[in-house]
Amino acid sequence: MTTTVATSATDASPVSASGVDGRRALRRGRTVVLWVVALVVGGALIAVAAGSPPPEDYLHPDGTGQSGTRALVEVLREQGVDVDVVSTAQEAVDAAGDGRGATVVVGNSDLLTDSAGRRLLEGTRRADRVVLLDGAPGMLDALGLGLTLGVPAKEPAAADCSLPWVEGGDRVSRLSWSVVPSAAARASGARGCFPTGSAGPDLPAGFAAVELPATSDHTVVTVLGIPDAATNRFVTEADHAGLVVRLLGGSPHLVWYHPDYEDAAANPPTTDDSVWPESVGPGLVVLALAFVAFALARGRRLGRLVPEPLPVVVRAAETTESRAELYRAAADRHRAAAVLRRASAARLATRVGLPPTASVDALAPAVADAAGVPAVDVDLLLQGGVPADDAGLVTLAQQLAHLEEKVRTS
Amino acid sequence: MALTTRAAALLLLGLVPVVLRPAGSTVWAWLLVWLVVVGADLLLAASPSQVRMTREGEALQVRLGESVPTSLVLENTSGRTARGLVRDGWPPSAGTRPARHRVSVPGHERRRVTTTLVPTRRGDRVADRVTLRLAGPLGVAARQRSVEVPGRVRVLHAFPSRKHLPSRLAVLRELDGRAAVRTRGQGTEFDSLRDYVDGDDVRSIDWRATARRRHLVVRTWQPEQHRRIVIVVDTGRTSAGRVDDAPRLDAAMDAALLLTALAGHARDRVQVVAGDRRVHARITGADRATLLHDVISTLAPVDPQVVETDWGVLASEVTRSTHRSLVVLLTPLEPAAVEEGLVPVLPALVAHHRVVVASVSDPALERMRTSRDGSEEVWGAVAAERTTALRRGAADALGRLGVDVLDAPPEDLPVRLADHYLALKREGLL
Repeated sequence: MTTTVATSATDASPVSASGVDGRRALRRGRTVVLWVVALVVGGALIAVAAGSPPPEDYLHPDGTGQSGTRALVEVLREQGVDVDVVSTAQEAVDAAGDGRGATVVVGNSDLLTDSAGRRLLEGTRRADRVVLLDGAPGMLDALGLGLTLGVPAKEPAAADCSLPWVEGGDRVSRLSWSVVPSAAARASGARGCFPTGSAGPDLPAGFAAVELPATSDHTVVTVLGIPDAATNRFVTEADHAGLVVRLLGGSPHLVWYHPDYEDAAANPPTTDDSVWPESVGPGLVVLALAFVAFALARGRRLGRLVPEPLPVVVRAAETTESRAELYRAAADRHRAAAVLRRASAARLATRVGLPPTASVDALAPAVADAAGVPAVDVDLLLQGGVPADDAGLVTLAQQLAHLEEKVRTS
Repeated sequence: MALTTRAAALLLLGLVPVVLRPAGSTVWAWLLVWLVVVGADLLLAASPSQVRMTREGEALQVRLGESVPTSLVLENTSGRTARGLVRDGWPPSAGTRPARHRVSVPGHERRRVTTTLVPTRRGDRVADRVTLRLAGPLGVAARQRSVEVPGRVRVLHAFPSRKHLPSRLAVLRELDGRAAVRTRGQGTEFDSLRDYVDGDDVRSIDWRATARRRHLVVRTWQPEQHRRIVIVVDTGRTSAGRVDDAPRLDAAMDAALLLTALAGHARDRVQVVAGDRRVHARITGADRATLLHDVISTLAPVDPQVVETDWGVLASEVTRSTHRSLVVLLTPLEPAAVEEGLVPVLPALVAHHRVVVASVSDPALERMRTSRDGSEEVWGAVAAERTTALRRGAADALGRLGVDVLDAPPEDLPVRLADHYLALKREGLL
């Protein structure tokens, strides 16, 4: 009966097989495609929602951490200032456009090279103002503005100057640098605010901020020695907030230039003084030649290698060790226990004077007599059950050895 | 040609002019100076082809574990002093000390250079080339040449069981002495007639001789002599297995040597055959005085081969002579090899000869068998028990064929075999 049904089923299947299979394959393929699309779209949505994490750089305009300047940028935007964030000198120049009504500020100058700095000053000659927020310690000297950075000798007490963005009662703190204008710069109109005193009696005095008037080479340049004043953490301290907002919010358009590695690579530094003495190059050639000569000297053999007719090396116990591995891999405790018991029984039989082929029933009483243990125990040991696990097998093996030892010493 | 490290140091000195005048041209100028110096030194060096080298004693023999000196004589046929290094090239297992010699041979003189060989393995070692490197007067460049100087050392078996020989010879002498008062029986043969003295067994009186001589004459008997003993050493794959880091073959040879020495003293005729698919060594003890030396020397270069032993070939060596012999087969008791190779040829041998199978057992097996501390050891113990049972099965199968089976660790086998031989001799079963 069953056979008939089965036969009819197999008979029926070939007729529609291709159609059914094809449809099923199509449906399966569609499911796969749908899953892939869902995964891609979902992944993209998650990526957009998560966005890129806020940067952690010092003075980064998007930085929401303690060293970022997002708070200041947001305040400026609320004041109606159009803030552009750029990361290369070329972008900064482009963003400043023809320069009217634009202020360019350099935040973190760690990656600002001297050539990028010159390019910036050159391209923004018509801008309202260029601000170096952290004094640009790496390349300020190279710009040739007549300014140097020093260590502030004292905290500035008062502004003591008359610049439009400084009010008489302003106080600053958190000085990092003291900006020192040279005599030539002072003569050409450099003005300093918040005097920090001079490092020595003969040295010129420094300021927390110095402003240079516009020349044919550059527009108004303001160099600050208080970068911390712009950070989220300290912008509310002293009179920092008012000071930097007045300084940076002076024009309707602010270009915030935060140099990155690409910028540094596009504007390589032009310093070219070598730190090596001239003889290093040829000296290295001599060293290399000497090394080659040394290698040739040591590498030359005193006669060819002599081959050794090696003997066959195979340990006699290798087959037994392999057999042990096989037993272990197979975990055949049934066979293992039988082998151990048979071997012990044969030795015990010889010991008590029975033929090695004696049955356990005949052997057990004799062994029990010789060892001084109950015959039941001997019987259990020599023909008991198969150990349940490896620990049981170890116990059995040890008990057998122990019994043999007892019979031997009795 | 060869440079020396001094040449590299000379090149390194170029740093001084480079520091004084830092320019590329200084480097090239210095390199030119260096090349000139090296070239001049090379031209002034003595030519190695003008040093003639000969070896004193081309064929050496040394027992394994002992050292032997080999000397080269360097004869400088040129006028220049030959100064440099000599290396006598031998295979690593020949154990050359020192590896290289510093020599200085003035013109038209000769010097001897002695290398000590401390071989680490048994067998023949053939000297490779001798290399001579002669430096120029400045020692920055040298000329080098390698030449064949024939030499060969045969490293003999250490024969460690020879320390047991004196005690076994004492047993043999005791056997001789006891047999003098022994009467006729199996295992003795007629020695001589002598006058009867009080105490002699009356059963040994030779009445026929007594009748001829008119006074009592007794026959004396001595243990049988001039028995034929054939020792077959199996060099097949099973003999290659290492027991305590020495192949089984070495222990088998040790046993063969002790038996040869003992049987030689007992005035038996010993024949030794070593082979696997073919016979590698065959010694027929024609000359009793040099028998042991011949056997040691002939067996020295025999190594285990990775082939299955053809017992038909070895058995035909034994059955060449129809004399009843003691046949000692030195082969490991490997169940499969014994069943397939040895057992088929045994009935024919047992029919005409007394056959003893002596096998080298592995003490590692016994250690594995008795070590039962953990799971891993117990599985090892199970395998060892199984191997032991199989070996015993093979031994029993041989025993049923009428073969005496000896299975002992390497250091015991020679003694066991010698004792078995003495027991057979005592029983007169040879």
